[in-house]
Amino acid sequence: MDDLLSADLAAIDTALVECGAQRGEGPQNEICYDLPRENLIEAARALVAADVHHLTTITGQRLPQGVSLMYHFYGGCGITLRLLLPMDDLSVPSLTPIMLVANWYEREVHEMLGVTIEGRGEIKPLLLPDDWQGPPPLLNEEENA
Amino acid sequence: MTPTRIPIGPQHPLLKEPLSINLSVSGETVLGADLRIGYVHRGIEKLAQQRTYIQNVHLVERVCGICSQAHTTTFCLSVEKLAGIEVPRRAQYIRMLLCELERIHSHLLWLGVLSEAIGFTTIFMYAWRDREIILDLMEDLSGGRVSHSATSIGGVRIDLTPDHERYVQTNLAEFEEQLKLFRDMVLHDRNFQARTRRLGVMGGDLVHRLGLVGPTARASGCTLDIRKQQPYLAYEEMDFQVITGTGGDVWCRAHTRLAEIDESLKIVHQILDGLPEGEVQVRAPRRVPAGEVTTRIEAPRGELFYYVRSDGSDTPARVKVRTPTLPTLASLPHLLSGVQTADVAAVIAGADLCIACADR
Amino acid sequence: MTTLFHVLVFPGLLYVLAASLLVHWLDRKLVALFQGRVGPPVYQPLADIIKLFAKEDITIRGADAALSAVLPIVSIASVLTAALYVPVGDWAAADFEADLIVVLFLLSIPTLGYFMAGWTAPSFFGALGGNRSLLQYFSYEVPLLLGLTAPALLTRCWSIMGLVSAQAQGGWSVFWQPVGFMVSVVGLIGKLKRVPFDIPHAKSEVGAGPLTEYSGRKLALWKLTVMMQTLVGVNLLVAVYLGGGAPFVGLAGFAAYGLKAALMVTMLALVQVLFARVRIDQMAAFGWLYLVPAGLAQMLFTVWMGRL
Repeated sequence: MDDLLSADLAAIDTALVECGAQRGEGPQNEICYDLPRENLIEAARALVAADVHHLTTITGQRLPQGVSLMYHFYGGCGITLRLLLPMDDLSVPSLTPIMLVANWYEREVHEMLGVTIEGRGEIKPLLLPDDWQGPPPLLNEEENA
Repeated sequence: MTPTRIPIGPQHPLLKEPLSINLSVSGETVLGADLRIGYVHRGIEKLAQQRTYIQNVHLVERVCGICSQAHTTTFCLSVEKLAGIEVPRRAQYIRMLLCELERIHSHLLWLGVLSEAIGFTTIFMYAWRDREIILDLMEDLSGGRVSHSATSIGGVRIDLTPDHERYVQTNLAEFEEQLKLFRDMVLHDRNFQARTRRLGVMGGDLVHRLGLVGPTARASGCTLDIRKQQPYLAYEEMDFQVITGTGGDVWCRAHTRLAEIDESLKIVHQILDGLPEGEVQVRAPRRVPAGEVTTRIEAPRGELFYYVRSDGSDTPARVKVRTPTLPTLASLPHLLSGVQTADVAAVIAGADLCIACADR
Repeated sequence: MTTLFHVLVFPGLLYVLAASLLVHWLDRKLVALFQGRVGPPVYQPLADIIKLFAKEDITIRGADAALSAVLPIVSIASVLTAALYVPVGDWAAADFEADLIVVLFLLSIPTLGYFMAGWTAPSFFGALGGNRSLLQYFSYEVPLLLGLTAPALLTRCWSIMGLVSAQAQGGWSVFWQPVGFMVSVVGLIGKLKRVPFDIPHAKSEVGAGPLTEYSGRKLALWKLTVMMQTLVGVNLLVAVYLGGGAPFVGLAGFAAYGLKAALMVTMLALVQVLFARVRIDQMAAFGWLYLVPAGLAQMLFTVWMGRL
C-alpha cells in the first residue's frame, strides 16, 4: 500500500511528455505540466498507470487569457496538470470515468467557473443553491478584465 | 416493492451541521443515497479575493470550527513561501503544538459523536468532558478554545511561558489517565464492537478510487500522512508512527484515531521538551510578491490543501481550499448502500464529517 | 371509604403519581452522576410535566386527531389500573386470585398504544419507530412472562399479594430463581425501552419514534405513562422476586420496599450507563436465543423443584 511514495518521477515525466505535456513554471511545491485539453485523459491515464491516482483537487481560476484549470495530483510530491481554456470555449473532458474522485471537483469547477464538463450528463449544483441565477461566482468579468 | 425514500437532514438529530441525505430504502436495507451539500456555503474562496492577506488569516480560520488551526497554518505557510519569509523555529514548534492538540480534540469529538450515534451516551459524555481538558489547554495558550487567532503570517502571536508549559504538562498527565478508559472501551467492549465491527467497510481499492485521506483512509491500510511524506513545520524532527489499520470498518477507524491520539501526545511531549529559544515572529510585508504556491498539511481529518496565487498586491488573486471532508462526503453513498437503516447513523457519524469544511 | 382512599391516595393514584416522578428523578440523577454530570433537581420531572401541559397541542395535518388523543389516555389508564394490583410493600389497593396475569396484560397495552401511535402517524419516523416497538415487543414480552410467572409456578399462587406473603415465609424468590429474576429484569428493560433496548425511539435514527409528532398535553400523558410504567415495573419485580416489604411489616416494611425499589432503579440506571444501543435484529436474536431459553430452563427447574 506504500505506493504513493514509490512513484518514479523520471518515468512519470517521460510518460507525460509522450502525452504531449510540457514542463512549465507552476505553483511552488508542485511539478507542473502544461498540456492541451485533448490530451488530459491520456495524461491522467499515464499518471494512474504510474500509481499516482490521488487527485487532490481541481483548481480553476479566471486569468486574463482565459480560464486555467489545474489538476493537482499527489504521489509523494505534488504533480499538477494545467490546462488553459479560451473564454469562447470553456469545456473540458470529464475525468470521472477513469477516476471517481474527480466527480465532485468537476461539479465545483462547473458551477464556480461555468466550465462545461464533457462526457457526463447534466451537472447538479454542488455548493450553490438549486435556484442560483447569477453568473458563475468565480468568473467575474470586470474584476479580471 | 418500490423503495421508500427517507430524507435525513438538512436538519436531523444525528447531524451537527446541515447536510441533506436522501436514502432510498427497501425494507430495512439502504439501496442508495443522494447527497446535497452547500447549506453552509459562505463563499470563502471568493471572499478571500477581496480581503488582505492579514484579514484572510482570520477568514480562513473560520472555514471550520474544529480544525481552525490547520487552516490558518496552511494559509500562512503558503503566504510565507510566496513572500520568502523564514519563520523562527520556536514559532513553528508552537504552531505544531496547537495542530497536535487540535488533532487530539478533533478525534475525541469524533469518538463522542460516534458513541452518541450508537446510543452510548456515557462514552459521549466522557469523551466530550475529557476533550474539555484539551480545549482548556488551548484557551490557556491562546485565549480561544477553537478559534485561536494564534497564527499570523511570519510566526505566531502567542508565546509559551514556563507557566504555560507547567499547565500543559499537568493537564496532559490527567488527560492520559482518562484516555485509558476509551482505549479499554474500544478494544474490549463487546457492545461497542457489535455496533461498529464490519460496518461501513471501505476496502483499500475503493479508498484509492475515491481519493480518501486521513485516518479514514489509514484505517483501510493506506499510508498517506503528509506529516511523514512531505514534512512541514518541524515534523521531520519529530519521532512518531503513522498509524494504519486493516479492517477499514467503523471500529477500525475508532481504533486508528485513538492510536493517533497517542502519537499526537508523543509529539506534544517532544515539542515541550525540545522547544527552541528565540523569537516567535518576524515582520511580514503587507504586499506579497507575485507567484503561486500549493501547500498540503495533515489536518485532523486528513490532507488539507491550499492553493494561493498572488499578483503582487496586498490581496490574494485566488485562494483555493480543498478540505479532507470533501472526498469523505463523496464516499458516503458507497458506504451507505447495503447497510441496515439502524446502522445509518453509525456509518454517517463514523465517517467523521465536517460539513462547514466541505462547504467553505 | 377506605377503598376510595386506597384507590385515590395510597397506594393508588396520588402515590403512584408522586412516586413515579421521584423514581424518574432518581433515575436521571443517578445516570447523570455516573456520567460525571450534575443532574436535575428533584422537582425537574414535575416541572417538565407541568410545562408540557401548558404547551400548545399541535395536531399535524393527516393525523387522526381522535385516535392520537385516545391512545395516550388508554395507555395511562391501563398502567394506572395495573398499579392498583401491584403491592407497595405490603399494601395493594386491590387484589384477587390471578391478578399477576391481569397486570402483565394491562402492562402490555401501553406498548400496543405506542405502536399504534407510530403506525397511524403521518411520519416515517413514527412508522419506523412503531414498527420497531412491535418487533421489540415480540422479543421481550415472552421472556418477561416466563420470568415473572416462574415464582407463581413454584408457589402455586397467582396473586401478587399471595406471592409476597409466600416469600415472607419461604424466603425471597430471587434466591430460589436467580435466572428468572435476571430474565425479568432484562425483559423489563425491553418493556421500558431503555438503553440498550431504546430502539423504537433511538434519537439518532428515528427521532423520537412514535412520539415524534406528539406535543403538549398528549406528549405529557405519554411521558407520564412511561414514568408510571417504570414505577409499576419496579414495584412488580420487588413484589414478585424481592419479597415486597419483607422482612419487616408496617412502616418498616414500607422503608424496606423503598430501599429495594431504589436499588432496582440504581440497577436500571447502571445498565443505561454501561451499554450502547443494540440493533433490532441483535435485540431479537438476544431475546430468542438467550432470554427465552433461560426463562424456559428456569421454568423447567421450577417444575422439577415443585415435584420434590
